[in-house]
Amino acid sequence: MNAQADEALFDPDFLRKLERLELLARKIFRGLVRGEHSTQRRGRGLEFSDFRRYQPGDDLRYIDWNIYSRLDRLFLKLYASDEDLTLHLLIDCSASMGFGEPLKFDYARKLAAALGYIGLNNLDRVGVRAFSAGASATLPGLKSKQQMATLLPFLLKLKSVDTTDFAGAMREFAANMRSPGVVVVITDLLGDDELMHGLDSLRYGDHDITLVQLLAEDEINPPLDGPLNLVDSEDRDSLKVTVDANLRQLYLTRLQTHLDTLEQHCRRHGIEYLRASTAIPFEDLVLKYLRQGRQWR
Amino acid sequence: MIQFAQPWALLALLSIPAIIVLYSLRPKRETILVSTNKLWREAFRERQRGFGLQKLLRDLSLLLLLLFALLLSLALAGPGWITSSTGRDAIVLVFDVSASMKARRDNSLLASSRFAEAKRQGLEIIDGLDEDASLLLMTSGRNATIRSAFEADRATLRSALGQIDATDETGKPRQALTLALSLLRNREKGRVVFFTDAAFDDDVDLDTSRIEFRRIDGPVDNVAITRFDFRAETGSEERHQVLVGVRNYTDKAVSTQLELELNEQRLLSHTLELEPQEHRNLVLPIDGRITGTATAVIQHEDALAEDNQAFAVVEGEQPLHLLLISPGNFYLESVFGALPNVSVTRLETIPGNFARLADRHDVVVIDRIAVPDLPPGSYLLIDTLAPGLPFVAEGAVTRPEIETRSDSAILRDIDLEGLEIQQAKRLRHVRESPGLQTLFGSGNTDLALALIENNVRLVFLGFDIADSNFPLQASFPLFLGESLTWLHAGAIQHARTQVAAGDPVTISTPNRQSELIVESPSGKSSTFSVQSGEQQFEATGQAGLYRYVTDSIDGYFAVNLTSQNESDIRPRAILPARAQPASTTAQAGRVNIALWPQLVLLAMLLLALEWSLWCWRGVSA
Repeated sequence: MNAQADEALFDPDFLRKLERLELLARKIFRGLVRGEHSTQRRGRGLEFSDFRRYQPGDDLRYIDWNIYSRLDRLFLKLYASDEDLTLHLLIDCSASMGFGEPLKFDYARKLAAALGYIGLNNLDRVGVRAFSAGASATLPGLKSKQQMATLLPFLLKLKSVDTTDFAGAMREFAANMRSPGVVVVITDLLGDDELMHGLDSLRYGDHDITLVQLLAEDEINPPLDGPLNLVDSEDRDSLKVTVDANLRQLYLTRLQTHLDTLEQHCRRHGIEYLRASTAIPFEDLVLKYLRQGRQWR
Repeated sequence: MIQFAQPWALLALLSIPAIIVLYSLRPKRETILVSTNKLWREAFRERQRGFGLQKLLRDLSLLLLLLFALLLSLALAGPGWITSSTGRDAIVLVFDVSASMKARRDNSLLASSRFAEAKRQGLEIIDGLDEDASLLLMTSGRNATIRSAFEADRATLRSALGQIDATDETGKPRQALTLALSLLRNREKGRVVFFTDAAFDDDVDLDTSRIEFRRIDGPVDNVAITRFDFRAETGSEERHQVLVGVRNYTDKAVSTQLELELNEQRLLSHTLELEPQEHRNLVLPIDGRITGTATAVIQHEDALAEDNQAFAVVEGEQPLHLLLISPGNFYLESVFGALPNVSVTRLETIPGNFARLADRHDVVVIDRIAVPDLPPGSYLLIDTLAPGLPFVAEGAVTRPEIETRSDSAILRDIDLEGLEIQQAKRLRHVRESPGLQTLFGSGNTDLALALIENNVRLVFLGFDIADSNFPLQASFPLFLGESLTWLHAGAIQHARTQVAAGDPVTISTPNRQSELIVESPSGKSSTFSVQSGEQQFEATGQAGLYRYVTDSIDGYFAVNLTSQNESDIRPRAILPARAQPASTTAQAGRVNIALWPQLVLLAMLLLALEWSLWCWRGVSA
């Protein structure tokens, strides 16, 4: 694994790209980063905005009894609320992120830096959480553009080690969040059996979730052949196998099935799903994916 | 029941564990760190489930290799399946065709010969041959001869038997029986039937369990000529002696008349009184110069008539054919004409067909005439040279003094003391020649040389004999005679004049390439194309006078039954008792069926199948 030198990860060229991204993002980053962004929130708020039909489990305090008396049907009042939006950047720091050319981990950190910069420039709070099966690192409550000087060093210090416990990390995050926000999870999501449970934990916290799945070119088109001993980077499990065209095809089929399952789960549960290869320049991903909101390779 | 001829070869089974070890050795795997191998594991499991055939094929390949090693090991051990079988019978009929088989079976007027009886019994066996049996015919004479291969067709066998006759040869039955048994080596069921009168001294006690002896008996009284030859008395060509050996093989005294003929003319008649078992050699004088063919006959009625006569060829000395090419030389013509047994042909120039003419003469003498290239032959060159010789003439030497002489046979008893030569060629040797010898010479030059080189025998005189007193010397005719003798030393007798029946005869022809015709006593002619100056003739099974004709030769040689062993027609050999009944029906026996060919074939098929599987796996991957 060739980790990009910390100094080169956020070099001047990268910073210039960030400036350009921020300007462009202002135009296209709607509904996510504007400080005066209005969002439909249940329950709280000072201005009435709309009604919606009552669903079991809703707070009875917001039932509009006048409508009920007239229509004999239960409706809830919705109120607009002006509040600051917190952008939560969750970065997978497991060992599997340390693969690819460029490394998925470096790519994830650049992506997090870019999104964090855009968020801070738009007066949003930005929080960064690095997760893996072991101890996680958190950088909460960045508020201003100047705090990029805090964000970048934090990202630089992160290492991709350890195994993945995606579900556990998501549960922990969801449990610690007092209020919903925008959550961008940057991960590779390969091989973890509890992926769906982890995503569900985030949903229960009523967050606006975007899942960015990063894949290395070697994972999409593995250049393996012959008798090999494949060692898992996280749990060091080894698999003796002879890779031939047949097995390679089976792997690709398995991979596609896994990705399709993920995508379907996300779509079904209102999670924005973006899949990208690290071969795509990260700035393109930021612009095009955030504009289109769909996977792009 | 299976038995192994080479059980030690089963050690090759140790190759089986070796194959397993080699097969199980996996190629070294490269360890690669991947982000996650979970998807690979799932793919691998899916392949294991859905592609069990591949696994099966991999194991099948190992199984085939193991089977191949097993079969090959067993094949090397020489397995054989022992079973009882009434399989194909194989019979070898061996007929004794030696001279004694010509003896009568009885004393009746129309008595057949012993051999005729043998053929009759042989025909019985052929006619009674089982359908699954095969038979081979052999004869035992001077040589053991196979007359037909193993054959099941009776008509073919009858025809082959019909062409077999007894000869005047001596027999070697042990040799024939050994050969017959070797033909049955690989046949569990097989036997030899030997038809003989047992009138031999050979030990035939071989593997007698497979030999059935059929003894043909008959009368045993016989009086025979055991020797017949002519020779000239020492020192005289006018007196000869004839040697005749006669033996009485009976137990009674006999009186018989011996008659000799020369060129079908009666030469002499002599009465013989022989005691029982007496062997007498007669030496009878004959006056006069005799030459031609001679016959000796004893007028005696006995069981074997073939040895009552003998033949001989009396040859005079063959003339030497000499070609003299000279413009005219009284001395040479006189000396050559006076030499005994020399036939001279004179020419004054070299003819156009010189080579052919030279080939037809024993010696060519060329006197003072330019010589062309010399074809192979014998030459006496006098004061002339030929191209290609290892010496040349450069000028002349006047009045050379003889200072050196060799001890060559040509100069034996020749006195050169008074030889005076007016002028001789000055010779210079131009190359080395191992066959060149100086006969005599002066200090300045060689005067006489002898050369043997490239099928050329040459005597060279470097001076005109008329320019010397050589012709007047007593040594001159001696020199010429010795030269001719030396030059004609390559000539050989055209043929031996007498051989025993069955012995080969070498016939020499005057020319290296000739056509030779040989006529047997029965009138059968054989023509040969001789390429090397001699031909070996082997069809001497019949006693009598054989005539041969080649380009310039018309000669005879005699073949005689002069074997005392064959003339003694009493059964003498101890024949083992018949081990098997004289039956041609198939008999049950133990058969060892070799299994190794089948095992090897099966092993090869398995190997081919394994290779096909390997190829198919490679293509399908």
